[in-house]
Amino acid sequence: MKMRADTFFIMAIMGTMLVAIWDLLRMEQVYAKLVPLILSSVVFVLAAVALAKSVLPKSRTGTVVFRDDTDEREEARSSLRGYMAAGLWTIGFVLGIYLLGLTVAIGLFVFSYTKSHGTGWLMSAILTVFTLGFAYGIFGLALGMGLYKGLLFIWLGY
Amino acid sequence: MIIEAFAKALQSFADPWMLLFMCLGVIMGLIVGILPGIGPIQGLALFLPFAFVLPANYALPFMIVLEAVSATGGSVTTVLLNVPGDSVNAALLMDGFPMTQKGEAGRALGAALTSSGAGGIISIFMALALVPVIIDVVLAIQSADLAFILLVGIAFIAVLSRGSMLKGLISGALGLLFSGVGLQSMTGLPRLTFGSDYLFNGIPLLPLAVGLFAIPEMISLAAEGGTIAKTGGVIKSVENVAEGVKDVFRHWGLWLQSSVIGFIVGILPGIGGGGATFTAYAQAKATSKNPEKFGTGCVEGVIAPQGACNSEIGGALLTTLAVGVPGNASQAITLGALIMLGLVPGPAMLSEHLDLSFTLLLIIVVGNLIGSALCLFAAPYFARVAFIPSRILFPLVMAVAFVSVFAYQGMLDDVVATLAFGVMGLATRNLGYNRPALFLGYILGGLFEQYLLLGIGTSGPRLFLRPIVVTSILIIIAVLISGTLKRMFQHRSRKGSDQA
Repeated sequence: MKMRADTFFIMAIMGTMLVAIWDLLRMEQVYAKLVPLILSSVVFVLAAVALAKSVLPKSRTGTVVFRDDTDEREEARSSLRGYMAAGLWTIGFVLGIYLLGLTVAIGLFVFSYTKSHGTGWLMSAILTVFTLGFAYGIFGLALGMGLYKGLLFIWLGY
Repeated sequence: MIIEAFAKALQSFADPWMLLFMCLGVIMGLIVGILPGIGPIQGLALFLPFAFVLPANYALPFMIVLEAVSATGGSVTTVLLNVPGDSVNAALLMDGFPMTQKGEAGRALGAALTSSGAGGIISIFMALALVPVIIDVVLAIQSADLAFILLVGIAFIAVLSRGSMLKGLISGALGLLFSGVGLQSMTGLPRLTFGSDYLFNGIPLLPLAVGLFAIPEMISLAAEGGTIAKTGGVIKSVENVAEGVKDVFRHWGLWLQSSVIGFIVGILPGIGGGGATFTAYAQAKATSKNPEKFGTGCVEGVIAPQGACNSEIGGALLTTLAVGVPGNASQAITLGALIMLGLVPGPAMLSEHLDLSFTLLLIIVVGNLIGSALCLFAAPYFARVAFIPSRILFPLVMAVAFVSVFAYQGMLDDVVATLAFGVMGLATRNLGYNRPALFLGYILGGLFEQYLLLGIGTSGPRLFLRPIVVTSILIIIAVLISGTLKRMFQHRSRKGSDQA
């Protein structure tokens, strides 16, 4: 599983480097493209070596040990589920910021996350107020920054 | 003459109002350092109107101290949450946060704060020693030399860090390439922007730092549950802080070596704190008897970058005063403040106004002492963060991280970029890529390119004959060969023990 993910990642790096090299080659000014072109070529070559190391079969020596890896697989699956859940919360939070703005998204995110993970109503509310107060106090009041209002509220004319 | 000027500089600290404004600067510096997204530049910009109404002899110490102490504040969030306040704190990520995970947050904070505070003090003595020769030293170093010195630092981190050397090199080179995105300062041409307006100014620092380091750690914490500290307890925090302070004295040689490196890198124009701390870390690992411990949460990996982080400011200020070339944006503001006072930094500053130059250096030292002492007293309470359950810490840190990222430039695109870098950070973290090397490459890449192209422009192919360039290339080759040999021996010894 890990090896496959690593291989995909290396291939993604190589693909990105090819696009970068193609983009840089189209530039006319040598001074502008020289260093990035050298670097993207170096990364491409290094990634190709890493890919070869990753996919070529390694010479096997010693004895083969058969072991029951059911527990290990179950642990990996559970860990993956945890990562997926945390990742989805993060993506949801960023989407919330985009649509509802920083203030509402922070409030919703902190409250719903803490509440859904076993924290009581009161504690969740206190944490939400604390985080909102901190964010608004420092960035809104002290620094005088306009916190992003969100697409929905901008569209509604607020 | 030097001693007389130094004594005169000491006298200026008899003014209680100056000390009061220094204390205010320390507090503000710590606050802006602890908050990710607000660095010393934003802090200075925020208080610039306030500083203008003050008499210059109070405004200048306030501003210098604010800048000097912010790195100390940043080390707190770096150790506890893996959130570097600024690029100068990034090297601390490698062992500071792993120590917190081992339940040694107090010890890490104690060592980090003592090392950085003491590093600031030693820089004044180094400055005293270097005043007579500083101008010659700075003017003897050319652009090409600086480019290859930077490359040595990146090669050290890429090769000597834990894990695969190949992945370390890919990470370092990727970081260098990241710094090339956007408008090139020398030609004004956009590169690798793929038509995106957002990338015209390059990849911004804070979204990359938060995405690479903070987001992956927080997602892992939420996925695995529990607390950041996997072992230990809150009760131990106070003793741990004292233990960390003692660690610096136990490893005084390492601290001194790192502080000297920090000071020397500080003198080199433009490299900055990030380069200084990473170089000190790499050197500490290369000279250690137990290099395999680095990256797993060893105290030497905390002492080394922190020893360099504040001594670098002393070196950078000395160059700013001697040559009149600011090393970074913060030093540029200090330069502006000096001009506001009617003083023109340059060679005359070290001859006609030597006492004032020493006063400025002493302000950094005293400010660091006050800042480190304040943080040391508060460290046991800070350390408790490591024992907050993930169900509370995850939403709080994520909320503060994203609002800080937005505040950085007031752009929603930064929030989206942070998420994208977060995905990349998670992949590189779990697949064993070298995130610090990537970040260091990114920090130093712009300067590397600029110095290299300037070197090619002025010297042509002859730049490869310069002694510093030749030495740097030889060091890089030696580092690559030693890294390969070390891994070969480790592989063989593992194979041997398996067969046995």
